[in-house]
This record gives sequence, structure tokens and C-alpha cells, in this order.
Amino acid sequence: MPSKLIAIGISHHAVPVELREKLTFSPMEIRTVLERLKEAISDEALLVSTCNRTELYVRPSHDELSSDYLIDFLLEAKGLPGDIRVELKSKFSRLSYCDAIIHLFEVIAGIDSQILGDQQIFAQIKESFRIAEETGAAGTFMTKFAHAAFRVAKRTRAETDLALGAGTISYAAVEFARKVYDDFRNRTALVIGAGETAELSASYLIEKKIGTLFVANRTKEHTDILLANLAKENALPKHKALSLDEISSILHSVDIVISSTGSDSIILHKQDVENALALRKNAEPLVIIDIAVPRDIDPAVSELPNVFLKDIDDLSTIVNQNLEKRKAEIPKIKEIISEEFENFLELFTKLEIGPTIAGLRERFEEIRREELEQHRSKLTSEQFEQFDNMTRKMMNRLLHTPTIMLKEPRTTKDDLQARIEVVRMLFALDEEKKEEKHS
Amino acid sequence: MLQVSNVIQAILPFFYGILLIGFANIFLRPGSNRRWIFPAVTLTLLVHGAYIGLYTITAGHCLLTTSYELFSLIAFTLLVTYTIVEIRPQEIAAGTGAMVSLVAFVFQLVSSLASRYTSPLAKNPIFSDPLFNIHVTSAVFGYAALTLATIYGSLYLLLYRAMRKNTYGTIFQELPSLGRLERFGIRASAVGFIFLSISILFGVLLINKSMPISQGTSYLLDPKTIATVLIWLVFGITLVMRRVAKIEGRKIVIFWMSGFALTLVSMTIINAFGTEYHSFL
Repeated sequence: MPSKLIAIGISHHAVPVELREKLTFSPMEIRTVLERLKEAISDEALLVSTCNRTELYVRPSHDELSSDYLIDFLLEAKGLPGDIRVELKSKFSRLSYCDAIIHLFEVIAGIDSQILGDQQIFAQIKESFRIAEETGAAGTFMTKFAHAAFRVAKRTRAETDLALGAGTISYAAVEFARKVYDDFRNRTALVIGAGETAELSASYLIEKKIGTLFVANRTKEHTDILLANLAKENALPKHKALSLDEISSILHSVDIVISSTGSDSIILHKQDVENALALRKNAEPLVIIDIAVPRDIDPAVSELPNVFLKDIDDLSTIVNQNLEKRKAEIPKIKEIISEEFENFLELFTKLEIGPTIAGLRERFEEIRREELEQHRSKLTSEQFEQFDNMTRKMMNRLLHTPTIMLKEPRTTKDDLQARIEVVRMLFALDEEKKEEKHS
Repeated sequence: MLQVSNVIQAILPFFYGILLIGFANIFLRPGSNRRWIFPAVTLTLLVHGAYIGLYTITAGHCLLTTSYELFSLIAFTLLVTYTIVEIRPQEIAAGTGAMVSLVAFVFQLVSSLASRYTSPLAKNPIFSDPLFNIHVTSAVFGYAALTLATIYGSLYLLLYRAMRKNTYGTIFQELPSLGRLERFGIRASAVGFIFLSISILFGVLLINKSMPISQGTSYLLDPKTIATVLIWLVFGITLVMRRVAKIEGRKIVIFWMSGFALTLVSMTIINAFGTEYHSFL
């Protein structure tokens, strides 16, 4: 009977990134999985895959569908080797119905993310839902479910401060620079390094519409890879790849420097910055952010006037303050989730009760008709009409109380679901469907 | 009409008080709703504008006859200039709003409390002269704009210091960026410079009209005139320096702050020793 929701998945809570990344699905792969799932079990489904988690939400059309089946299906779809499958399988979380609903709401709100308040997850779930819709995996239930989740995300953004302030060092670096220059369009930034942090910083700078971007690194190939990666996700601004030796020749034209190399020695000395300041055409501040450990920039640079030099510890202060503020918002978000959960359940109730009551009436009417037809030959048409009226009234009176009981307000989260299940089981409402399906 | 004007004058501090509470709330609670700002500021300006209009019709001149009336005009002009400089959908900066509304609230409160007891009727016929009204009103607008530029300058220096010292509290979180504060300050300076130019121009016209040439050029040595021209020059030079010499950032802010310091010192001296030429009561 179509009244359950199963959620299975792995996330950063229990699975390290080395293992998690083996079970990530690209949009194309998500499409394939949903199509195959639809063929195999013909149920509604939503597959969310991000760097923090891979989760599958399924609304099964029959009770036999288990979490284990879905986990095996997912591992099979990714084609992972046996040992990894075994290791991953033990790490899967299994949620059903109310817990699954609340879980997706918490995920989309950003309170289950590795970085509390992560806002990308909303767009990622939206994209997953779009794919589910396109593949036909999202029916009425999943559509209502996803929209309820979107409402949670929107309300979280509008009614709480969860997204305020930077939550990561890279983002804090860019946010600090924005406290000096709010409009990046006419600004020039230099990113030193070509690793993950440098890429993330460059990506934030591009997101904030930096005018010109220089990327400097010891190895040219790594810079090219970084630029290619950036180009995959964003339209690149005016940009140039540089070697470390070329930095001094362009430093005077740069407004923001973000450095995050793996170098053991200082890359930018006080004299370099002093020379650059002397060549600058304006007296605007120079923002230098050093997020490398060990540091890339000579700490003495901070003594220079009109230079903001910040290192990883300075930025950590900002990030920690923001995360503390974000944590304080969690109770508000839980309240929003609770409200939206109740609303969704109300809506879901209407969706569920209608077919159950209709099924129940249909079943009774069928029995009544069968019985009447058996006696038709023994009755005059007048008597038949009287019997018809009498049995209809009797049926209506008999069904009145169960109908009212079904519609009555719930007392607990699962109460309504239990009532529906009992009625459907007692009167074998799903047996009929199964038989129809088999025939 | 005078009664209506008096009632509005009495309630005006409430409007400024509400603005102050609202802006302070936004400053202290980041993420608060900001959609009310433009309607609330507009309403306050309309009510205050209505008061000035009614007063002018009744008295035959603008709010010029006492210091307390000037305070009300300063509160109004401060808010007008703030609206011109800052209140745009993409540039609402609540941190500065709290500061501006605090200053405007204090000015209006003092004016409303004191004027009821001191409001004298204008006796000098010069109060009814349109040239005089434009001269003084534009001077008040000019000074209000320059005060605002100074508020932006102070906030710039506060934020600059907080960022250098790694103090990431409310100042860092809630104030607009250094670039934006500088931009607002330059806008306010430009507005102030334009109004002071108008004031000086109308002052000269007024002298030509009311003072025979035979009386010489004694007005040029009047302390208030000298101070105003000096301040006008400081802010004029600020604008030119930024535009032509490309001097930006902290240097330009310190320069226009010195303009404000000059204003304060000169006005204090002038008020202490009196100014014969600019005395009308």
C-alpha cells in the first residue's frame, strides 16, 4: 500500500570523504538510476547526491520493498567492487516515514550539512527533484514532499540568520575582501596556489563578479587545471595564469591577494609589497589574505600602511563567530521544520484518506451489489428497489463511523497512518489492487 | 493652522524615535526585515515637511528665528540628505541609519521641547526676504550634508581600525564596506558643497540688495562668513582631490574629517565671541 517513505543514505556524519566520494552520482547517473529504479519497482523516488551525502528517498508501492533492497540497488548501480560495497553498506542510515521527512527538511535547511548553514544544498536538491520529475520518478507524493522541503529552505533563508556570514575559511577570505571593496566588478584579484582552497577562493571571487583574476603557481599545468575546473562551473572573467616569478610585475595593479600554496618558504616579502604600493596609482587599500600553513606572506607586511594582511587564524575568528551565531539559529529552524512537517502531514492526510475512504465505499458497494444481484430473480422490481434502498442506507450507516474516525484529527504523528493501514488491511483494500496488477 | 503646526511639532520626535528604534534594531539584529525603511523615512519626511510648510505659511518665513527652530531644520535636512545619499534599494546600510537617526532624533527632541516655550515671533523684516530664506535654508542643508559626511567618515575610521585590529564584532558585521562608506561620504560632501555654494551665492545677492556699496566690504571679515567659506573650500578640495588627484581611501576620509573639525572649532569660537554681521534677532 502506498503509504510509506523510505530513506537510505550515507553522509559526512558516518562516512569519510575517501569512501563517500565513491558513491557520488553525477546528474546523468542520477537520471539513469531513477529510470532503472522505476523499471524495477515502479515507485516514486528522489536521489540526492552531493559532496556531503548520497541519499535515496523512495515511496514504495508495496510493503515488501525494504531498505536493504534499495541499498543494494544503489551500490549495484554504481558498480563498486565487493569489499567497498560491504564497507559502505554497513555505514548506510535507514529512515522511514516521519523520520525520513524530517531528515530531508533538516538537510535542505542546511542544519545537517558539514558546514552549518550551507546554502548550496537547496539548489542541489532542487536539481535532483528536476531530474526526478523529468524521468517520471516524482509523482504526486514526491512533488508535494519536495515542495514542502523547498518551503522549509525558503523560510529558513527568510526568517532566520542561518546563512549570514562566512562559514568557511575560503569564503571568509572573500567576505573580508568584500568588507573593503563591496563591488568587485572593477577590481583585480590574485590567487596564489592551485590547490583545492585556491580553487574554492577563486570560485568565490568569480561568484562575486571579480573584474580580473590572476592565478599564480609554481607549476603551470596545475594552474591550467584550476582554470579549466573553474571554467566548467562559471564564465571566467578576464584572467591570466602566472608563474610565481611574475607576481611582482603585476602586484601593483592588484586589489586583493589570496594565497594558499603548500610552499615551505615565504612567497611574498615585505619589500615586494612595498614596491607594489609605491607603484599603485591610487591610495586604496590592498587586501592580502594568507590562508596557507605555513604562511606564504611575510607577516611584516601588516606593518605597511593601507594594507590589510590577514592569516588563517584571523579568518578562523570570523568563521567561528559566524558558526556560533548560526548554531543559535537552530531552534528557530527546528520550529519551522516542525510547522512545515505538520502542514505536510495535513496535506498528506488529505491525499491518503481520500483514496482509502473511496476504496472502502467501493468495496462495500461491490458486496452489496453482488448480494442484491443474487436475489434479483426472487424479487419483484418494486421489492428489489426497496431492498436496494434499504441496503444502501444500511451501508451508509455502517460506513459513517469509520469514515468519521478516519477523518478525525490525529493525536500522534503516526496515528493517522496507523488508522489508514488498519482499515486497508481489515477490508483488504490493497489485495484488490495487487490482484488487478498481477492479472 | 498654527495649532496644527504646533501639534505636528510636538509629535515629530516620536517619528524620529521610531526611526531610531527601527534602525538600531537592524544594527543589533542582523537579518531583520528592512522593507519598512523607505516608507518610514518617507512618512517622517512628509510629516516634517508639512510642519515646515505650515510654519512658513503662518510665520511668513522658514524655521530660522531661533536656534531651536534651526535644530528642527537640521534634523529634517539631515534625514533628507541621508535619503539622497543612501536610501536606494541596493544600498540600504542600517549601521549608518542608526547613527543618522540618533543625531536627527536628538536635534528634533531638543527643538520640540524648547520651541514651545521660546518660539518668538519674527521681528526683523529680513526673515520675510526670500533671498534670506534660501540663503539660510541652503546653509543648513549644506551643514547637515557635511555632518553626514562626517558621520560616514567616523564610521569609515571605526571600521578601518576594527579590521586592522582583528575585532570582528558588530561594527565589522553590520557596517557597510569601507568602499561604500567612502562613496556615501563623497556623495554627502558633494551635496553639502552644492548647498553651501548656493548659500554663499544667495548671501552675496542679499548683501548686494540690502547693503549699499558705500558701507564697504566689512561683511567679508565676518567670522561666520570666513568659516563657511573655509569649510566650503575644504569639501570642494576633497571632491577635487578625489576626482583629479585620485586620492582615495583613508587619506581622503581624514581630509574631510579635518573639514568637520574646522567647522566645529570655528563655530564654537564664533558662537563664543559673537558675530555682529550675522545677528538678526
